[in-house]
Amino acid sequence: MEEDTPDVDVLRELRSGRRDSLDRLMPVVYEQLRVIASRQLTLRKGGGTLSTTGLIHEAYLKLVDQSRVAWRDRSHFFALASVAMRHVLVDRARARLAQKREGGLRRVTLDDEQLDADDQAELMVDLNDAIDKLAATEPRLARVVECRFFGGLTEEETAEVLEVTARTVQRDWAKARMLLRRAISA
Amino acid sequence: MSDGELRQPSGDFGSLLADRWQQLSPLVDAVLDAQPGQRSSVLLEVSAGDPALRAEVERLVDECERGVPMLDRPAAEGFSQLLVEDVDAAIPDILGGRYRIEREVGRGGMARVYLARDLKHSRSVAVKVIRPDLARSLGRDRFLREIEIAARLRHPNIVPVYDSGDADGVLYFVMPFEEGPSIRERLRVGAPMSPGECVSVLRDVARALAYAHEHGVVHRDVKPDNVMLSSGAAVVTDFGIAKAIAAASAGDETLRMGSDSISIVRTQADSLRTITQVGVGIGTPAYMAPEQAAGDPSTDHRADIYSFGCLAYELFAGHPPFHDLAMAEVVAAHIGTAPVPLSNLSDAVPESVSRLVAQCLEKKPAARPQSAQELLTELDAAQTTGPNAAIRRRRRLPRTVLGTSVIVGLALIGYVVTRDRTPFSAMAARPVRAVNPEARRLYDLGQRGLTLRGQKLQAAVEQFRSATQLDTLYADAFGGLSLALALSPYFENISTRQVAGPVRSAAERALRLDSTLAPPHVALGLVHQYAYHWDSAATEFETAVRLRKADDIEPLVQYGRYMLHEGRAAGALKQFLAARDAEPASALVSSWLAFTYMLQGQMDSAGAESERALQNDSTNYTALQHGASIRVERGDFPGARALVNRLTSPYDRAGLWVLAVTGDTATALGRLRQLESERPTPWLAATTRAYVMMGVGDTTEAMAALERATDANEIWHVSGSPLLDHIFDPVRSSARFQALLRRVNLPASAP
Repeated sequence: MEEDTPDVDVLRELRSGRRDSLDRLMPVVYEQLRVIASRQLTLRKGGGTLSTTGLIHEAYLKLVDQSRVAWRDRSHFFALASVAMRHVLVDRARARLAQKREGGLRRVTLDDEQLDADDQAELMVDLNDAIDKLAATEPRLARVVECRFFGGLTEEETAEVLEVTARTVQRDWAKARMLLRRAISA
Repeated sequence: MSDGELRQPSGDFGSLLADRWQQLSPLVDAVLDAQPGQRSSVLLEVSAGDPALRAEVERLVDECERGVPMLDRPAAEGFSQLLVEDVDAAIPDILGGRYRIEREVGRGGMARVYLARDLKHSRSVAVKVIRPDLARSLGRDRFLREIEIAARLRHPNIVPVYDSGDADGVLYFVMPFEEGPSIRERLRVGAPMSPGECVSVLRDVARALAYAHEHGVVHRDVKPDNVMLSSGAAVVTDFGIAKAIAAASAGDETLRMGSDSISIVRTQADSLRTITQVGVGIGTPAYMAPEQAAGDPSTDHRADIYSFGCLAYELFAGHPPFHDLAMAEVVAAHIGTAPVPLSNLSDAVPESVSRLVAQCLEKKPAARPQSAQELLTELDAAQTTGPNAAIRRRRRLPRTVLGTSVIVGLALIGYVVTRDRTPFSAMAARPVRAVNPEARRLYDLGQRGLTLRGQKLQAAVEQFRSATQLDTLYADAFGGLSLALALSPYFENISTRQVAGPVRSAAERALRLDSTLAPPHVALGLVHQYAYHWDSAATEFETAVRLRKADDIEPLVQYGRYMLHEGRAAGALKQFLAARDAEPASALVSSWLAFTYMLQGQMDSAGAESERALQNDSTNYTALQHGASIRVERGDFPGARALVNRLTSPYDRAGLWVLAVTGDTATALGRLRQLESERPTPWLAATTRAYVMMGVGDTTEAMAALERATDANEIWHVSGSPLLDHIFDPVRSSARFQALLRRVNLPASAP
């Protein structure tokens, strides 16, 4: 390990809601996730679906091996990767909407399943706003959404990241889904 | 992220106002937490007789439990379209004022290929557009400069680069439109290529490489997809493109923007980008030279020679040297595993070609043919040294169609003189690779736990598992994991059925990464024993003993134990003594030696060896177990109980037997009842009952328990030694016990 590696306690930062130092690592994780996702999809000839767990796992291996960041442990990284994944998807959704549409948007909800790329972009931006809303009232629920949904973490992994029990994560996730659906279908 | 400049989050969730939710949230929690049967009563209670409130809470709870399609899958899956680059949108109809895009004809890891009309020269061309995400991270000027160098190449076996450019951020280069097929397509469809056809293709590729290398251009991505068949000749396409991308991405700015912390990737930036980020674009894993895979900056034209070897291998074998593996494993194999010799795979490969391919695939660049010119000379010699002069003559005729070389090829089959039948496992070189230091540390801890046994074993499983997660190519860690898992049914509340699958997958993974490891074979041997497959177990243990490293005692210990189960004490002693030679201070080995001496009636040796084990490691689980049995045998009851009290598990079956047989039946029975009162019934509970009942002298109850243990697949048959252990002396000759021995495929008595 190098002497000057940024030793950020990501978990503490995440729990406290302060993300200054976390943001210093973000570009690295962001770039890695973006590249891996893009490559995995290219390999599938632009179609198919991604394994989020595989994606984040691969990013973790690369960054642990190659970046020399003093990742405390896996949950340390997963926490950060979940946030990074949210950034990646929201940024891509914004870019697409900026490029594509002038108006006449179709209303998309979380109950739709067959979504084209533009619909997904639309929904992702709405969802992002809804999560911000959620964070204003129920900050922990918003974190659970980041871990479970964006990071693809299991209940147990999420529990470890947020230092709560798996049962709490299960309850929070159920409530968060309900609140997000209500916020978006409104 | 959202800055919400216009839309200040209201905090409300549709019609559900934030304030109202704050009030309802604890009520919803209470209902969600209630047992399924208690739901309605909790609902009544929290709504305090208010039907409207009750309905509201009930509705929210229902919604909580309803699936939400777009949230129930991880984001990258449900929203995967967002991660796909929108290439087409970025491509203008006419590129550089000259190339009118007609249609997309192909897609590779680094570029999309379009059929286009060159308006200036009125001809069809192929326009290759670098993937936008890749293009964004490239130094454009550098890229275009590199392409220019490649564009100077003029050779009949090289597809030329006509033009290149940057059209508002769209990086492209232009080549003649080759209809193909590529070698990849040729391999996929149509009749198999004859050896002659293969050699002909290889000669063309070698010519192209020789010319380009002389002009200072390397390919970096030689593979079947990049060799096209055109009018009977093979032509190599995309020369210098991979190198241009590599060079242009080494100077990449995006990783270094602004913040200091980004510098953490700088030291590895080149290798990182070359092998991973550009990924399949620069160097395709299946064809990538070890030094290229390792990101060695001194990678030179000899990497092309290696890739040429992979291409040649595929032409003859039908697949590249390493296949059917995950991408990371392929890369690891290039670095550390010797390929199966071509001659083992096909009889049709000319001996000299097989040798040449093996040389090309040498791990060290210095051991390969040093130039493509050498390849060409060797390929020519493959024909000129042949016995048939007529073929040589025919070969010199101008080659116009592939059919010509097919005739040559048929004759070439006769060149096969000897074949190397060395098995792959013996050929495989041990992977030489840097292990993640944290993974290494965890592995060392796991090894220690493995040696200590007992309750340390569970920690060892976790340590090995973490090591494999940190470093997915860490063969030894997978091996350790397989062994620790395989041993855990002895010490943990975990059944052999639960571990068999995980043991096999860890062992197989380990052996795929390194076929020379012994521990995975030991693990597989143990699993076979659990299933009463004694012969298969013996095969695995014998293999493990043969492969074991000098200081690895586990294969000897487990092979020795296997012999004990079969009643072969003398053979077991031999294995344990060999282990003693390898590791004189091992408490584990001394314990098994002591136990075997006891079975043979050599009580002095048993006592001495047992004391030695305890001196070497007073906490070793096996040393305590066997030490107690030996002290019982020697009449030292207080000494035996003292050892039992130091066992970390109060429910240990051997420990409870010792307590029972030395007269402390109350404690033994009490603990047995505690164990049996657990729900679900713990693994090995029936075996433990059998031991305790043997200890108190109730053989009827002991036999009943042993029968239940056998029904539950418990491993009493390998816990002790049914044919030799004194514990079973009182029942050994009974018909019931003999029946049990038959059920576990053991002989009726020791040989």
